Amino acid sequence: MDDSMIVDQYLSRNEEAIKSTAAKYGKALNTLAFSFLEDHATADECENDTYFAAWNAIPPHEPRNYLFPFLRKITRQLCLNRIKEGKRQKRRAEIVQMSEEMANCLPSAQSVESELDAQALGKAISSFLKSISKDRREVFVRRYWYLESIKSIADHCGISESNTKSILFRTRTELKLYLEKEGYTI
Amino acid sequence: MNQRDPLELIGYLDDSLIDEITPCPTPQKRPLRFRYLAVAALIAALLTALTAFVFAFIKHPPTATDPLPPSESLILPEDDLLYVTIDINPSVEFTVKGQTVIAFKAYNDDGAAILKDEEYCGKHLSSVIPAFMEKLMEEGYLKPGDDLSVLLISARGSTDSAIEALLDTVVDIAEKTLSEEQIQACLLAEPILDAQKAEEMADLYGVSPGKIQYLMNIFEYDMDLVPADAAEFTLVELFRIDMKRRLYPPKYQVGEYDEYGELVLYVSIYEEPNHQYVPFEALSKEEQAELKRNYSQEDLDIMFAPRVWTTMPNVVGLPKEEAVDLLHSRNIAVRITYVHSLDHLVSGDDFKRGDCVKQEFKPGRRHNSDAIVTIWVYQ
Repeated sequence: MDDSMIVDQYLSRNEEAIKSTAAKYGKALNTLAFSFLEDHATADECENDTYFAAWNAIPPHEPRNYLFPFLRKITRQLCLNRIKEGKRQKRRAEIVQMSEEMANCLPSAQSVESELDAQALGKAISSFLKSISKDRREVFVRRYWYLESIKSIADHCGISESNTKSILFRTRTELKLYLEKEGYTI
Repeated sequence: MNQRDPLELIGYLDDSLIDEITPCPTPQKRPLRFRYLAVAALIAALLTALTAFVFAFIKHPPTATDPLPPSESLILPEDDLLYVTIDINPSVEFTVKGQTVIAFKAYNDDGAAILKDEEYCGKHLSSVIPAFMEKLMEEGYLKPGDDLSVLLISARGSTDSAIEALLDTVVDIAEKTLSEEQIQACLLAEPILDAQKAEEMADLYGVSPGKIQYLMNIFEYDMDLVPADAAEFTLVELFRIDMKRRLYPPKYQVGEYDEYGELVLYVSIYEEPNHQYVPFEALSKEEQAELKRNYSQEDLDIMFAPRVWTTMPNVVGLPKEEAVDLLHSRNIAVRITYVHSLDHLVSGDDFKRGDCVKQEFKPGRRHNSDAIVTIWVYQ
C-alpha cells in the first residue's frame, strides 16, 4: 500500500491505518527506536506510541509524500522523552552530554520557542551541513540525530575515537560561527 | 513557556540529510570476535619485530611432525605456585604447580562460559593449553584464515625466573597449537612482576591481572588511559592503542582537553635524531592509512604543512621574562607552570625564585616554530 493511501486511511479515521503503517514501517521504526533507547521493551512501546501520535497528528498534517520521515521524527522525539524520563542513568547521561555539546553552538532555547523558529533553525543547520564534506556530515548526523556513541560512530566510519571527537569539535565550532553569521545569537 | 532541548532542534534537519545515513544495526548479544583489516595485520606484523615484550608471529603452514615442547627441558619450580592468565576476550587463569594445572578460574562471563564443563585439574600444561585453545577455536574466538586475533598471556609467581620459565613454556605451546591450526594470531606475552598490585587493581575493575597489567604497560606511554579503561576497552582496542603508540611516538600532538573538558586543538611536531619528520607522501601506504584513520583531513593538513623549523634554545636558569622573550623571539609560544618546590623536579639548589628551572622540550631539539613549549618557573 502506498503512503498516500495510508494517509487517506488516517484522514478518514480508519483504524486500519495503524495496521498498514505497522506493516510497512513498523520494523524500521522499531530499529530506530532501539538505536536510541538500547532497550527492546521500551522500543516496542515507543513504536506503538508513534502510531498513536500519528493518529492524533493526521489530520491536520497530511504527509502523503513524506510519511516515513514524518513518523521517524515522531519516534525520535518520543524516544528522547523516554530517555529523559527513564531510569537508565548511563543512556540518560550520554544524551545530556550530547545536549550540552549542542547547547554551546545553537541559539538559546528561549529564542527558538515557536515551531516556525525551530523549522527555520533546522533549515539553517541543514544548509550548513550540506556545505561540509559528506564524511563530516555523517559523523555529525550520527551523533546528534541518531544519538550514537563516539565509539559506535568511530567503528562505523572506520576512524579513531579521538578523530571522531576532533571532527565533532570542529563541526560544532564552524556551525556556531555559521549561525552567528546568519543572525542567530548563541 | 516551552523550552526546546537542543537535540529536539536537531530533529528539524532536512530529511534528505537523515536519509543519507543508515543507522547502526540492532546489536545482538554474541561473543566478541576480533576482525582486523589486512592493513592492521600488516602493521601488527611489523610491530612484532620491534616489540621487546611482544612475541608476535604470523603462523607458518602446519607441520604435522612438530612435537609439543619437551616438558623435560622446562625449568619450572616444582613447589611454587604460579599463575598464567590468558585473555582474548574470555579471561581465564590457570594455577600451576610444577607443570601441572591444579586450579583454574574465569575472570569474566565469557571465560566462565568457555570453562563450563571442562576439567583441567591434574593435567599437564602441554595438554591443558592446547585443549583450552581448541575450545577457543570452537567458540569462534580463534579462527583459521586471514583474521588476526590478539592473545595475551601473562604470568605471575614467586620469582622472576619462574615467571619467565612459565611464560616461555606457555608461549611455546600456544605457538605450536596456533601453527598446527593455521591461525594467524598476535601473541602477546608479559610478566606480571608486581603481582599484588595487579591483583588488587584487577579485582577493583573486574578484569584479569593480565589485562590490567597490559593497560599499565601502555599507560606508561599513553597518559590518556585510566585504569577503568581496562574494563571499557576490549583487548583488541587496547592493542590498537598500543600499536598506534609504538608506530607513532608522541611527535604529533594535535589536541588536548582543557580543565573544562573542552578539546583545544593545536599542533606540536618535533624532530629527533632517530625520528625525522617526513612529508605525508613519503610515508608508506600502511602508515598513511593508519594516520588517516586516526586523524581528520584538517589535522593531517596541519601536521604535514610546510614547516619553519627552529632549534629550541636553552632557557633553564634564565629569569622568567628573559626565557619567555628568548622563546618568543623564535616564534615559540610559551606555557608557564609555576612550582613552589624544586623537590622531584630538578637537582641542585642553584636556582633563584623567578628562574626557569625546567623546559619541555629539551634544548637543541629542532621544533616547528609555531609549537607550544612549557617552562617551569620557581616561585
